[in-house]
Amino acid sequence: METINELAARWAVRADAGNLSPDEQRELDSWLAADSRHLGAYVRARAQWADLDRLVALHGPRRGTTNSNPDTTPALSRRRLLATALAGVGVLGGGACWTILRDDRERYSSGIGEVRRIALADGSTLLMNTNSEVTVRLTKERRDVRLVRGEALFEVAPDKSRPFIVRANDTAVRAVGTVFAVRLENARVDVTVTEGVVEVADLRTRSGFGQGPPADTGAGVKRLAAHQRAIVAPARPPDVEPVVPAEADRRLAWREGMVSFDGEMLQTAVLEINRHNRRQIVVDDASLASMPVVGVFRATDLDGFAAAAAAALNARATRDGDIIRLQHGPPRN
Amino acid sequence: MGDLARYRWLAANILPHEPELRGWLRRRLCAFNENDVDDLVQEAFSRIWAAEFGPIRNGRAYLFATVRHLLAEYARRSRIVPIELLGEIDSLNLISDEPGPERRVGARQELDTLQAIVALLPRQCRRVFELLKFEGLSYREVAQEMGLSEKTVENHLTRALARIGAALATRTSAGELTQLQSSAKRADATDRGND
Repeated sequence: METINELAARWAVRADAGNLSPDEQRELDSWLAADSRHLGAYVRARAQWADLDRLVALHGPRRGTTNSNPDTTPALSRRRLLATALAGVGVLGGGACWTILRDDRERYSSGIGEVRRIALADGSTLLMNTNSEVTVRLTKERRDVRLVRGEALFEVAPDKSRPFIVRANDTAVRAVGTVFAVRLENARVDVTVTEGVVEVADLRTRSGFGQGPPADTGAGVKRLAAHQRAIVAPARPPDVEPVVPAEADRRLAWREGMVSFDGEMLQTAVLEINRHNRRQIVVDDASLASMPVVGVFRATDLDGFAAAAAAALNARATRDGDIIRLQHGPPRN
Repeated sequence: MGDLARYRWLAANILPHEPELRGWLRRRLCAFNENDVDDLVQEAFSRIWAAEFGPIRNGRAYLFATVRHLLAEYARRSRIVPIELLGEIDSLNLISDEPGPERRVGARQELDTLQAIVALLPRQCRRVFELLKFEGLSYREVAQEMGLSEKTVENHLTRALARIGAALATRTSAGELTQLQSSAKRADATDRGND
């Protein structure tokens, strides 16, 4: 899979040769319009390519007479770029982190320990937590996102004509312009809103949202404002509870690559930090597992967390291959 | 200014400051991985491209100001960027009103760097690159001379540019910031003499 910079390099050498067919030119235009990073990477690559001309001076006269004349390449005027960008072409090329499926859903995934920001063509952003997977489809009528696995924070660009709907299992969340996180864990869906309003629909009791604006809350639809959280667990109706801003920030500490605990049981904290790591921590002792943990840790620093927990809880951390065991007893050494 | 002239302007005024920018981002924003740095650099180039270049007197200041705006937007929207870092860009005295590129190493030295990067390309990739760029051959001529398909020529050139671009983007040394501040006063008016 080529990165944006690599794709940009390909377009840059092609365009510089000055023989893009009309179809290729259209493909390039759509690729550039699909994402501002594409445009940035492309002009950067063209600049680098042009910069290399300085080396020519060191190599004496050129022998060719048919050298490509870059001035004849189709102009990349800003006005035209703007026009294509405004046309909102939903065509997408390749990218560093996603592939196109045949059903025109884009699929994005993040690896273990990775937090990944994805800019969508509609101006929305999604920030993916560790080991997560999301598919996206943007049409004229709606912006359709599925959380397949893990957790993501959505910053939705306002667009009243196209509701932004995130589905996770049997739960659908509809937003117009807002910031919220959805987490999928063991068939439980957890929605936290930090800005604006969303609606949460339980699709087990309802087929989905009406066509109206996000106000027609009926059975099975809960309205969620900023600093509220909904939990949809199997065999239970959606449960809405308030979250204070500090708590929401703490829950979303992964945005900065951190995990934050405020009195959770060690067992819960270990589950959370394990999500971010290939190596895992195992707590062998039930009474140790229920001890409270407080602190902010780098999500991928498994050893640091184990050492801190061991020190705070008067426990011992032992390495066992890819496992770190936490046990009662004073630390060795 | 035509597009080619604009690319040259970017090459002369913005590209030289990319390694410094990346170094700073990597050092200061621990939560940023290499992808995030790439994203930010790409966004910055996109913004700069949309600007009118004429009034920009200091490419480095402009690049850093652009990134500062981007970081502020990130920070506003998701608070992923500690706000105090935004102030740090200013306090590093990176933004000055001095005209012209104040931080170019000598032109000759820079060309040596470029040459060294080209020399590190895989053999065939380098040959294709040299034939096209230095000898001025067309794709077809390079393909004929080397017995390759034009598609393969394109692949080699793509790889060459991607590698050279990545190498240019990261050539930075630890001492560069201090070196830069001491040399900030010296405007090097002759550094583009090879153009």
